[in-house]
Amino acid sequence: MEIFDAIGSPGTRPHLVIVIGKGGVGKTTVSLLAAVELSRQGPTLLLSLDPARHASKYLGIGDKDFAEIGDSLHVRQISIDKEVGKITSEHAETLREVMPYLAVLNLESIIDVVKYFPGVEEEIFLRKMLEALQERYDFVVIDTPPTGITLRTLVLPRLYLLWIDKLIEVRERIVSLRYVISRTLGKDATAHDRVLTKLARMREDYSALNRALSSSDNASYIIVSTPEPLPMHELRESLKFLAERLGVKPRLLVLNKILPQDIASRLNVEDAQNQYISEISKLSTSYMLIEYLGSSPETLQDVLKMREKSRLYKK
Amino acid sequence: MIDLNSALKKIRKLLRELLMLTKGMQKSLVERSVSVLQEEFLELETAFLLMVMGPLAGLKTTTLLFSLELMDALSEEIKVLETRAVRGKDVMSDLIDVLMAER
Repeated sequence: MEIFDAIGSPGTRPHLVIVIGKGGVGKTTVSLLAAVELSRQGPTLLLSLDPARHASKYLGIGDKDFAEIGDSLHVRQISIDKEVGKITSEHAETLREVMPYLAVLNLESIIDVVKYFPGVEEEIFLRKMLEALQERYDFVVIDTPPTGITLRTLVLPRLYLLWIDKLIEVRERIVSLRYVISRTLGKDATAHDRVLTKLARMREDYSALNRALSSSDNASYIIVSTPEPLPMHELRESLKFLAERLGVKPRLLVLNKILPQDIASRLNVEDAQNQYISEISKLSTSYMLIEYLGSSPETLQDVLKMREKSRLYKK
Repeated sequence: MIDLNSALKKIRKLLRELLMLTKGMQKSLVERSVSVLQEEFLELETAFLLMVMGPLAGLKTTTLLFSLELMDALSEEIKVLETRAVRGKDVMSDLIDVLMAER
């Protein structure tokens, strides 16, 4: 119940719970823990965008993209390759027409080309978040890819809106000119334009996502770190980013893999660890300390053991 | 009487010429206005296509999936604009070449 206590009762459903952190700090285990707890409050989807598929490993679902873990907890593992494959297949024929050098390649090879275009990973992530807003769950817990990609993606809807507004402005002028020219020359004309319709729909979608990401009613952020310099640096950067770019504060900070004092002392990291704990405790956000389990979790049961090792400090 | 008929003919001829002149001027005015509008239309269409389809020719104007999302709605326009491009092996690059040159 601890994570639910920190998140509180969501204002709108589905409520997005976005788990952010540097690779290796335990984002997936915290996401699983959150998903299991929240599923006791209502239907919950764990959406894993982690390319390493750790959630699938802990849950023992192998290569499956979707699994039901009990009545109210579902898990969806997203594969960038498969998603790019789906999108590319939809547009393969048009792509072959406008980029003929692709025509000599089969579909698999076109997918390979598209997959490595800059920004594709962020866009897939964005689409999945858009879809998450339409899900019929009370909670959607998102296990995100490493911090850089996640933060870039979170700000994309806002940039897209600026871009779409400009495109709409230019397109409206094009459509009105086309109409006036045709009518003046005595030809049939219509003010309907497929591109404008599409742009308007995209604007609606990205506005909704942008609103959701910037509203504590729609979204909660959990930042996970370990008591080490680089993960702590990313935690600070993420806090700054969320405040400056989205105007939000995380609901929960998690400091994972805290070593018992005697081991920390033996490894000569006791002072640093205490300093990081003190730093987090001074922030105005609820935080959770999770002791090191002794070994890397392998199963859901191992992950659930973290509850016994965790302590929530609510603010 | 003869003079009156002749004068009337002359007046009718003059009026006809005036009418022709007015019609011609009106037509020319419309054509000139349309040609100015067409020029703006062509430029905007070019700019729009460049902004949206840039990533397909290596221009980082937007992201690839954004372009793909709009591509179906723009397919007819791409085909029409293709005819303005030099027919080479790479239609999109040729098209972008022409569009850049036009700007």
